[in-house]
Amino acid sequence: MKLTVILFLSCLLFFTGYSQEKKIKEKNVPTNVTKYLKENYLAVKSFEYYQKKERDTTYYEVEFDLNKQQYNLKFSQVGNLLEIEREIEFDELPNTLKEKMQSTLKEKFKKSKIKKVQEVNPDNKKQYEINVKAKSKPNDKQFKNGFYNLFFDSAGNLLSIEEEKLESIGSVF
Amino acid sequence: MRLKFIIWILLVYRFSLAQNQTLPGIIPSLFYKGRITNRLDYNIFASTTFIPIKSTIEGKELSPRNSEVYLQPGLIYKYSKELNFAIGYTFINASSFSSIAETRHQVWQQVIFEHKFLKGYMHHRLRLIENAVKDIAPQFNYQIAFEKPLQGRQLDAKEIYFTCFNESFINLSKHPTNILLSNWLFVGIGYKTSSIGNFEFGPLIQAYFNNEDKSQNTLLLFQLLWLTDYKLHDRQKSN
Repeated sequence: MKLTVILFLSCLLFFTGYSQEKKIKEKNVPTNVTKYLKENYLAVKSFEYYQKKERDTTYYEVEFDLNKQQYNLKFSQVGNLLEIEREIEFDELPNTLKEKMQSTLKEKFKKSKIKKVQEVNPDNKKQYEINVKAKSKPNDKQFKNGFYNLFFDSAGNLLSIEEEKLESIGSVF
Repeated sequence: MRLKFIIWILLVYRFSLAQNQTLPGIIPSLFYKGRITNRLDYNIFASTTFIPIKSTIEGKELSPRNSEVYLQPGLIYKYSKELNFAIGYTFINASSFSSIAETRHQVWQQVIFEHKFLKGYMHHRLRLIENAVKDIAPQFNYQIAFEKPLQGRQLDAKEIYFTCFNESFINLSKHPTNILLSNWLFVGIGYKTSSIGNFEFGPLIQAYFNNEDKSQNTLLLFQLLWLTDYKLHDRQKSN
């Protein structure tokens, strides 16, 4: 049993040095980030800060909940805001936008059910990402029954459709 | 005083009847997952239990040995990200607590449901097992598992994660002498590599109960698990 514990702890210590994303404390975040959050999200009680490395570039991400919505803000290494990601309800969208999106879904699939909606703004261009469970039209060669991510611009025009790759839930024994 | 007496009676009763045995061991395991379609996967799980010490079983002194082999292919239907169904077959050849190896052939069906929990993922697995040998009753297994990245919100390559599960083996015979046949508990640390899958390691306690003679046999194992998938071939081709 002692050997098991020693092996377990040794492996844990060996691997903890490597990471692409790590949770950090507020004091380790650029001051521009904390300043922006205080100015724009005063009602938020607690923020979670993460430092992330993507292709040798460091980013900061801040995650929090506000009005039952989950926010994810991305900042550059010096603390400039790059992107805001927000999980929203489909019903929150303006009617014209909803109608346009629903007509696109009807055009592409026989039947679809909206599972998740996200508002994102990469490069300050507002976009919507909609995850649906869809049933394909008979003899449709382009789409099969499955899960799809649809990307729309701020006017509700379809930008792209991607089939979601399903991974099986890993369980051993 | 009365309470002390009751506890003493219970302890005496327990130890006078029980023939408990505990053995240490190592269990290297392999889990391989392959994709057939976007809705269908297959997997193969294999493990072998090695007891590195001398042990006395049913009066026989046995040298360090390979006490159990476990081989399990399965077919998984991915209804959604959160809900999977599977069928499979298990071959078990075991002699951890008996002098003669016992071979079992099992077929099973299972449902597995996953949800977010404490910023990690929890799954519940319900499995119904039929034994190919007629005189062994079917059994029902419930596995609850939890996994959480330890360095950030998502598990990226070269990062570690916490993993654990508990599985209870329940006897479904009409007149069971003991309802809980066995209980397995694993607590470990996993490491996701950049190209060859994940490694998990930690203690695995396998407890086997026998109500007839009030005995409990336990394997205290150190599990070394390699989880890999079909992407392994793609990665090797691109290297």
